[in-house]
Parts: sequence; C-alpha cells; structure tokens
Amino acid sequence: MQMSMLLYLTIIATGIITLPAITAKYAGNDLWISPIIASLAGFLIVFIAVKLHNLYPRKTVMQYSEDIIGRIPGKVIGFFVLFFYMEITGNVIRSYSEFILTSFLFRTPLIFVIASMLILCAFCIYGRLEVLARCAQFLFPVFILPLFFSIAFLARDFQFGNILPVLENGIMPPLKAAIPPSGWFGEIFVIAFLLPYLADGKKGMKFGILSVLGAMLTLMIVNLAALFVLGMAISNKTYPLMNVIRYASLGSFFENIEAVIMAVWIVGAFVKISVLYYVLTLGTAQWLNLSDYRPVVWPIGILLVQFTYWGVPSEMALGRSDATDFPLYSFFIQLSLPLFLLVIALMRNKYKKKKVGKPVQT
Amino acid sequence: MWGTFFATMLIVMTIVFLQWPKMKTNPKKDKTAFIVLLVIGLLLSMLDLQYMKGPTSVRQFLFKPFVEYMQKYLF
Repeated sequence: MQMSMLLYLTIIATGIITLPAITAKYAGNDLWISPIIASLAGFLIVFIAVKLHNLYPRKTVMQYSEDIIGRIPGKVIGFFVLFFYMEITGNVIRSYSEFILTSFLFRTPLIFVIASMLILCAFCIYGRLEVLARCAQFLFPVFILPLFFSIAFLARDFQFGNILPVLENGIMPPLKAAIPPSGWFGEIFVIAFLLPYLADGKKGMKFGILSVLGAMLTLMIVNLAALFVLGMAISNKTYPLMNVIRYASLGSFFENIEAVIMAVWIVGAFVKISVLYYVLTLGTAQWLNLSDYRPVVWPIGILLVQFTYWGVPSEMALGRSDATDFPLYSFFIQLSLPLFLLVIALMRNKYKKKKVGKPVQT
Repeated sequence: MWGTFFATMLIVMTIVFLQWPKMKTNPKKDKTAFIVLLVIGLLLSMLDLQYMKGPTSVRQFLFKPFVEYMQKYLF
C-alpha cells in the first residue's frame, strides 16, 4: 500500500501542474480522454516489471539485466537507465523550482530552491526506503485532500458546456495528446526498483495497477476541472491548475487557496524527487556492486544539481522537450528496454527447459 | 564562474568531512566510488553548464527524426 502511494505521487506530482496545458494543445476540449489512453502504457509497464520480477525474484533491474543478457551488455543497459533517471530527476527538480520561482518566490535565486529541496530529499533517502515510504504515507492525504477540496470549491465556476462537443474531430486528437502523458505514466517503471523490497511481493501487481488507476483518475479530474473553468484558454497557460485554483473561493473567507496548492505541490515534488533520487542512488550502488548505497547519496546530489542546469537554458526549452522528445525517450528506456529484457528472459527460460528436457528424452 | 567551482569545492569538502568517518568499515570499492563521483561533480562545476549542450540536446538530436515524423503525420 505504501508503495502504491509512493508511485501515485511519483506520477502525479509534476503531471497535474503542466500536463493539462500540453494535452490541451493537441486535444482541445477532449483533453480528459487522453489520460485514459495514456494509462495503458502505465499498465503495460507494471505488467512487464512484475513479470520480470517474478522471473528474477528479489532483484532489481540493475541486477537482472546482467543475469539476462550477460555482464557487459547488462552494465550498458544499466548505464542507460541510470543516465535516464539522472536526467529526468534533474528536469523534475528544474521544473519544480522554476514553478516555485515564477509563481511565488520571484526574487529567490534558483539555486537556493533547488539546493534546499535536494538536501531534504537526501536526508530522507539516507534513512533508507522505510523512511521514504513512511513519508509518502504521511504526506499522501496532505497531498490529495487539499487538491480535491479546492477543486470542490471551484464547482461554482464550472461551465459544464465546455466539454461539448465531445470527440468533435474523431478519436485522433486525444490519441495524439495521449503521447506526452504516457511519458509520465512511464515513470511507473520505478516499480522495478521497489518490488524487491516489498514485504509481500505478491501484491506488487495489484498495487502497481492501483496506483496507475489512481493517477489516471486524478489527471482526468484535474483536466476536467481546468476545462470547465478555463474552456479553450487552457492551452495558453503554462500552469493551468494554478490559474484555475486562483478562482476558487468559499464564502469570501477562503480565498487565495493557490498558496495551499503550492504547499501541496511542494509535498508532491518532494516525494517524487526522493523516489527518483532513491532509485538513482540504489541503481548506482548496484551498478557498481557497492555494499551499501548510502556513501553515494551525497555525491550524486551534487551531480543532480548540475544536471538541473546542464543544457537547460530556460523553462521554455524544458517545456518544449517535455512535450516532444521526453515521451519518446521515456518510452525507449522504460518500455522498450524492459520489454526487450522480458522477451530475452522468457526465451532463455524456454531454452533452459529444453536443455534440461533433452537428456531425459534420449 | 570560479565562484561556482569554489562553492562546489566547499560542499564537496563538507561532504567528505562528514561522510568519511562513517565509511571507515566499508569496503574499498565504496570509498573509490564515493571519491570518483565527487571528482566528477567537481570537474563538471568548472564548466558553464547552463548554456552548454547537455544531455537534453543529445536526446533532442537522437529523437529528432522520430519527433519530426510524429509531427508530420500525427499533429
């Protein structure tokens, strides 16, 4: 259960802020359908990760990729996966801090926001997975309740007519718009690093699917809320949810709820960054066959700060690559590579069985 | 620009100062990895990372054909 909360927050945290705008660009007012389609990728990845874990129990991707395709190719794949996580963690931190900067703390230097968050996350994962999981469990209601309450407060401003006409241009626009969110759903692949540490390994599939389902529903609700309030203007905004929440008020004494949403989002970003950071350090330690991952926590923190800057001159550049090549990259690393590993692992198992079976026949 | 380098140097030294005593019993491999990663961090801090071509540009370059294909036929 803790794992599904972790994973849920990992997908949702940055998704709810920027995704409505990206999907609206392609799908128009059918943007609420896209998360449903995109979640298919999530389900597929959970399925692959769980299948691989069943074949190689109590091992993470780093370890079984070596078992499956040999030591050196396994290391190469491991390097790609690590590099990918390094990059997206950097990008997540960057978009988190840019969001804080552009929405609230206008005069704070970027590095301060980045560093304070990273130090917190580093302390969190230094205390091992248990601390991380408990944090997620504790922060989960803090994240989810204010979000839904503020959306409920918005209900007065809803114009349900904005949803019409449904599927005006056929199924294609929402299908195209499903490509960027599926990159986010791809992040569910971190499940492959968490499965070996579950107390009850058999429930992995169930909770993985549960968290994808939850993420899908939340994204759908957020998209719908943004659509009902803003109509077709969503695609012009960078952070539609923020704009929407600013409208929310209850009996004129609950106003400026966006401050709450910022707090909520920091909570989400904290869990997301910690999970990715954890995956990264654990992966690095296993990639180098270290005895413990804790010595590399702080050095990787420094690298992460540098990756948040590296090659990202501005928020705009990041937003563009989020919409175009991030989904493909995410698909390549988190869907194709595991699928490839699974196919080879299945083939090897069959081959092994035949090898064992042959002497009996002759 | 050198400011970043020295700031990183300071952080690296703090990390070494605080972490090294805890790692006394760890195998040699752990220590090597720890130091190598810190050195990579230091080396990177000497570059003007924000305006340099980085991993993001590499991936943009790698996936450019696919993105173009996508935008031509899908969007």
